[in-house]
Amino acid sequence: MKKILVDYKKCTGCRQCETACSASHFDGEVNPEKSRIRVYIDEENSLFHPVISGPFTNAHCTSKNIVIMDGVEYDECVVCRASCPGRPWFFEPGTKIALKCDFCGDPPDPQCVAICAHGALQLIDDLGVSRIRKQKKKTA
Amino acid sequence: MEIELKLFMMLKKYGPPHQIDGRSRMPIEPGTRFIDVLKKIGMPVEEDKIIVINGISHKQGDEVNALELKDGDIVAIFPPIAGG
Amino acid sequence: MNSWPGKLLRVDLTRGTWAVEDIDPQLARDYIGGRGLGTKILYDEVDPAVDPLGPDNKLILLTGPLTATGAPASARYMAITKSPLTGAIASSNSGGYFPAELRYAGFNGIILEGASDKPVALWIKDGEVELKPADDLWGKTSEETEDAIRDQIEDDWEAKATRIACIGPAGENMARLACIINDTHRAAGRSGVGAVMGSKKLKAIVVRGTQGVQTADFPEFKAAVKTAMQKLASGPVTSQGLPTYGTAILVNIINECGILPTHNFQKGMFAGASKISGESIAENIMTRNKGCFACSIACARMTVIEEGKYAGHGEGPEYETVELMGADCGIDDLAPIAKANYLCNFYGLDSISAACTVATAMELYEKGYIPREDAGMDLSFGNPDALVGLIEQMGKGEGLGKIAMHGSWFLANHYGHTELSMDVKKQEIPAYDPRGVQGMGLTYATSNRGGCHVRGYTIANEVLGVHEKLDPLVTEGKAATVKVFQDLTALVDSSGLCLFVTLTPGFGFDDMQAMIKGATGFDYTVHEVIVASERIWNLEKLFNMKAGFTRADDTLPKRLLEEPLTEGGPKGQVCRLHEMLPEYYELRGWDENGVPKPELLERLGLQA
Repeated sequence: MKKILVDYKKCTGCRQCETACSASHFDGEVNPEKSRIRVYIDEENSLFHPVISGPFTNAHCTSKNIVIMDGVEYDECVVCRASCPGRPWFFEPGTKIALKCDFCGDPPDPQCVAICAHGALQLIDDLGVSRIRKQKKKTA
Repeated sequence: MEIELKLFMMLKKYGPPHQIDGRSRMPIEPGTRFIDVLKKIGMPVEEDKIIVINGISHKQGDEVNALELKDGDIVAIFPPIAGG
Repeated sequence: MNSWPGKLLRVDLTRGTWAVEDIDPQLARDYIGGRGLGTKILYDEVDPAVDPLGPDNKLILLTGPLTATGAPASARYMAITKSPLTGAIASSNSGGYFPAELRYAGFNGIILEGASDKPVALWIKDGEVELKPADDLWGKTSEETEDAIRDQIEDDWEAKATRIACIGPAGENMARLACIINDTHRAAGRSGVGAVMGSKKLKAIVVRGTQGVQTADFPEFKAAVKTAMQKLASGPVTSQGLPTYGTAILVNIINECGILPTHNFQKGMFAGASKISGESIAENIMTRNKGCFACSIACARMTVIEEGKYAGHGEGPEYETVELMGADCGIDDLAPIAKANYLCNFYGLDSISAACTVATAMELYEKGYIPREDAGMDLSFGNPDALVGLIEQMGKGEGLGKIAMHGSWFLANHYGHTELSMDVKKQEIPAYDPRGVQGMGLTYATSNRGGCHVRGYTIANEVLGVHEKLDPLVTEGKAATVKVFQDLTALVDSSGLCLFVTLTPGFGFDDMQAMIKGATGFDYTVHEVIVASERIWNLEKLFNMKAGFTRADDTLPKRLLEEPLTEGGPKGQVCRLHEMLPEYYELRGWDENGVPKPELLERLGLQA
């Protein structure tokens, strides 16, 4: 099975993934609001974080965790992949249908990965998180 | 006879290991050409670069490669860059 | 959904009314968009003799057919108006996220006319428009303005997605160096476009869009984009140099070539160059690099000065800024330079012109032309407090800044020594000394918006050898190089792409044509887009002629024409403009006075 590995440290916040995703799913319409990947931008803390849409949940979170990235604390919303009523990401404007990443292409060739010039997105075989970490260590 | 060699950015790797700012002095024999300097420091001749000798930028190629260096010449080599 | 040519929003600030108009498809085809289309609208609607800061001047903000489409570096818009700094046409370019958001909100441009008597802000959301009072925003810096506007938006996520272009106090004070700032750090910087916005009492434009942009022929467009992206990815400048070191990567090489303006262009080499270089920025103050919308280059630097009296954070400084605030002011410390650059963004000052003006002030001061009591501080070259202090005064319109905020020419003229102002058409010259790179001299002298490097960036060939390496010290053939660069730039500026795409070897008119054709559906040929770019250049020229500019204005400061450089490779050189200008006029199809000939105007469809 394939997965998209996000390396937020390489993301430059250019949002070209958002343009590629929407254009490929909506017949050439470039519209970040219809993209299944959105870049969370926190300029104050120099953070760009690509978030890829996952499951749909009916309700707000009741137990949000704190996520720490580069020593800065963030609300879990920042990296959460779910569509939920509490956050406007991943809802198609107008219809309000929840969008979900479908690893577009057969075999999978996600357009967001294909267009990312900085290697923030990579298509990998799902090896499980621990093995990814080990692999990274080896190559580092 | 010696020249002053200035290597910039990723090209510093071709300089002597102890130098931090990419600057070094290199003794040369009379008749040393620019291409000989490249060979001495192990930089591929074809590698894209910008060459500035004594404050004059040169086109990469045979002409500058054959240029004979003199005592005190300042040879600066940059990777391909632009901006502004 | 938005497509090209699409719609323009026309706002009458005098009456507080607005209307939506369709862009004429024929005009869109002939003038591409952005800079070209904006010039056409300005030329048709505004008398070139108008008072730039009066209600009859118009401020035109236009995207291009590629803006927001996902084409590489498709992040740009242009601000076109009559410049209060030069009296010539102004067309300033900016990126970030704001321009794309404007297209997603349903508009491809905004025409601002008249003038409000009270501060207002223009709010746009998906085709809905509102003019709101902005008394509470007046006096705020760009950063404070953005924060205050976001505070007015109830939903936090919406507030975050909203994009803002505004003026700072400098624009409110109608400083002739005022710019329009968007996304806090990006600037439509040059020629005082922010002063025009200030004269209309328009503090901010607030945009939010959820509509998409549709290209005319998506498969064709996508193929053209793919080709262009591959070129960008394989070009060493756009794939390595700029992402890693940003634009300031140039400091060392420009210094090595002896053309790094130092002490107000008195010298061309600076001992402290490496301390203010792109490498130094990356090592010492950069937190990370950043891309404008859909840009794979990501040349922007997010930077921070952690502590001390210059503490602060923001973006930049870019090459021009770091060079002019650094070497040209004799300062070799990044902290005060970064601080002065942040201040420029907060107050809404053009950092290139502001830096040049400080350098001019320093020379005026050292030569005793600015009396100590006027200066109020030690304005000697190399004094970092003078740089930061004078920029602050210019931003606030206080002290000597009250005069200096109008630029180097106004300052030098005030003290009776315009020969010390390094300007063309009263706009400050950027950070390449044309005595050691002859083509740039011609670029500066003939630029339709006055002293400017991005109207024909021949450094790319004369020094850096991006497309082909030319000898910087010869004048032969430079007229042709300058013309091609000027025309290609006019096309890129009109398309909505960033000029940096042209720093890719092999990137040219054909790549632009392919993308523009796919995006617009107009069956452009390469020949047609080249003619369009010439048309744009010549229409700017016609505007300037009607504004009173003549051949005598196509020149350089006396220092660059007569005082030779004293060291380095170009030692002994002056800029030999007279060897290039007649040939340039001829290549352009202009007569010996620089007036376009009737047959040229007919070929371009510009006859009266």
